[in-house]
Amino acid sequence: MALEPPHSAEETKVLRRLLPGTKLENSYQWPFISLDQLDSSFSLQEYLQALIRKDRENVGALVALPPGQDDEVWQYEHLRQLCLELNHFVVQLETECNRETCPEMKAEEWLYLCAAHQAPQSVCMICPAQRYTYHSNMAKLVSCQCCAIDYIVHTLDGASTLLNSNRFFPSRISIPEPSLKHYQSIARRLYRIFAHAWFHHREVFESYENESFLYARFLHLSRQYKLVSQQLIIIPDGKLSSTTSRKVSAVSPVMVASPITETAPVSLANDTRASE
Amino acid sequence: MREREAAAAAATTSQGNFPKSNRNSAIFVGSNPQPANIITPPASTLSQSLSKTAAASAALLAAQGKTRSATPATASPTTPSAQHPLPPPPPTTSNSAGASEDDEMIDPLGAGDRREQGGADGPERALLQERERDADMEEAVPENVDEVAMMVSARKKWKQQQQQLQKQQMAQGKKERTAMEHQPRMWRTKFTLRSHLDTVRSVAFHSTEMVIISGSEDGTVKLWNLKSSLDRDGGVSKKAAHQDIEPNITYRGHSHMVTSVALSAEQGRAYSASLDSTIRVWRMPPEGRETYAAVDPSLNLASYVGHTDAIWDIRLFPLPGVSHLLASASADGTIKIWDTAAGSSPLKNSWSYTGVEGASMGGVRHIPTSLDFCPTDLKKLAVSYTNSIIKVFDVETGQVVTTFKGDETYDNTSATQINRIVAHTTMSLVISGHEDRHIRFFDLNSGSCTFSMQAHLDGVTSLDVDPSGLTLVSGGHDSSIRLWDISSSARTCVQEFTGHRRKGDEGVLSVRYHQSLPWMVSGGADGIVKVYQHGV
Repeated sequence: MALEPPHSAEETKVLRRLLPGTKLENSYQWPFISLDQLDSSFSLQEYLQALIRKDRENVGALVALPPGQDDEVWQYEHLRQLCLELNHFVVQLETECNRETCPEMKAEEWLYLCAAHQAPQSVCMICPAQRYTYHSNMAKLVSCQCCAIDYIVHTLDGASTLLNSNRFFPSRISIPEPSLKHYQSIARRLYRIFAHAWFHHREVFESYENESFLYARFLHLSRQYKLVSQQLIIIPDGKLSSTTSRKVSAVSPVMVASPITETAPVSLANDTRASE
Repeated sequence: MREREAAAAAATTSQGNFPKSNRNSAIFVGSNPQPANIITPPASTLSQSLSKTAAASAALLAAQGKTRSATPATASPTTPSAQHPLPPPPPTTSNSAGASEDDEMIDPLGAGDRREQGGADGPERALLQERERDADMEEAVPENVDEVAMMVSARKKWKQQQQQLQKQQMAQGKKERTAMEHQPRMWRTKFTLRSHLDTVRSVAFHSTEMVIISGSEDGTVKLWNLKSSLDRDGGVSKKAAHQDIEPNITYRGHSHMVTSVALSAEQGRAYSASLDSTIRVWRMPPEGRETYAAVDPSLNLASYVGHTDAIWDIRLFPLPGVSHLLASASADGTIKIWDTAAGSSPLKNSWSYTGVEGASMGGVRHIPTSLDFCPTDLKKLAVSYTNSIIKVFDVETGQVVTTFKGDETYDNTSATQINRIVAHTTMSLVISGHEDRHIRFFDLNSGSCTFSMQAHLDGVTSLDVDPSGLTLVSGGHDSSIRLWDISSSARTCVQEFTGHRRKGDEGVLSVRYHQSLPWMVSGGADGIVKVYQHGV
């Protein structure tokens, strides 16, 4: 093979590439490129990430659908990005949320049951309280209910798996119609992570939010695309509380959610009913 | 680039880097004198028509530009029939088969056997080419129909003979295949592991089992146990082929993207380095842990703090029975050696570009990009720098032992830096992958560059040497993964395939061999981990 010196005009443009040895402060220091100039298979994801790097505070601009784009794909990229950034939030949460501090996944008066298990709606035969679920195998009844951090991690793992599923989301150019229903179930569960943190780990929530504006973005996205029903939004919001009355339940309702794993995706439709 | 390559190769004859195609044409003609005799096309009309076909298929090649070995460097002057343009071999499928016929192969197992094997593969390949060549002929309508008809009938005859021959040799070949461990078979994708939400920057295997660890720009490290997805023969079980495989555990702890991962089977631990300037130590979960088991904070063993900027590469000492050292290279300019067996203060040593002595120097000018312990001389640690220089340090003392001039094409920008180095498992050799597409080979002792080649169409990001030491795998931002026969002096490319789709300007970011099983794993900008098996 003939040895040719590397050259060509391409070399002069700034490559969107992190070379080994790059300093933290120099990472991602490439110019903002408009969406129509991005030509990779992941252009929408790249564009969204570039927007966030540019100004993460302006959640309205982040959520606004870029002209000419499919809003279903745009929501999909947003949900992926939310899960990605929640990975970092969980790291912060784990410093003070554990089985001892939060044995139950609660937010205010609400109790959420983890959806990541085989038989979430079954009633535990051993535990006296009927709200407990038992895990797939009775013999492995180590913990019959997920504590808050388990719920959070399982929810995040489950959402990542679902969003990466070749069966439900085979393409990032168009989303199969039957898969759209998963958006709501994913968003509703992700919301509970924020809710738990807000009610039980306020400092962690606020310090992360001040930096990331992740909840603000999530809320904006959820409202714009009606991903989370208004009644389920329990974190008080200045603007929000004046327009809508927050549902306060006297009896703690039990949120029973269905699995978001591969095994029983069909039952996701029941989810909404179950939580109400 | 490919077009240029193809054109250059067509103008001259084979450059020797792809002798396999030469060899093929030799087999095609040589093993069959009969058709060669019949096809004597002295008529200038025919050769004209043939050269037309050649031009047509050269254009086709340029258009395809996909397969590397498509170089029509096959015009062997020995017979007229060789003037037929060799059509591009079907991508990847026939590549490795062809490679077994490399004349220059230094065969450690006995060249005789191999040659025979090559003979068995030869006709198969010739047949494939034959079919495609026929197709070519149809496209360009030749002027002299009679002679072509003659040729076609001759070829039919020849084909029949070949098929018979092939059947005979198939029976033989099977035996040989099982007998020969190093039979260059093909790598094929067996698992596509999806769960990361962004670019996968690093992957690693367990040394004995089918366990994979991957680190991603999404800040997580994932551990994949594929044992339950394999059947008894070590192949992919039917069940696993039809479902999405989930990681056994996702480790969260880094506050920034993960750049490098390592797995210590003996310690039952995983290590990950991040842009957040820490190294984290994770305990591997007990066998049979369910994906959605309870969170176990005790799996988060430790965090090595000491670097003050992004860490880009970590490597474990290759002999875990001897020591549990971990070396790390950071954008803060230093190399640090950690004793992972030590309890409270794991940091053992730290040095900069000039070694321990010059550690007091002011600003950091040269930043390490990659490092590797040298298995042939375990006291040595090779480190590549952003200025394309490779330095070999004494692991114990931190003193510079040798400096390799890897900066032959360095132009003072990061566009020509070294991205990755790997030390050969059995030979005194260090191999470097450069951002300017080169792969270079250095003698560990003398420090001289023994071989240099332009190996990819874009920056080289990843390198690994297979356990036998005969093959090198490289991955690049051109999305391709290439396998090189490094036992031959020509360093022939024996297989090439597209590994990962590009995100931004990045493609393949990590490729590793399994140390004891015929598996390979890669990670890339598309956020996917792919697992390949070597087989027939």
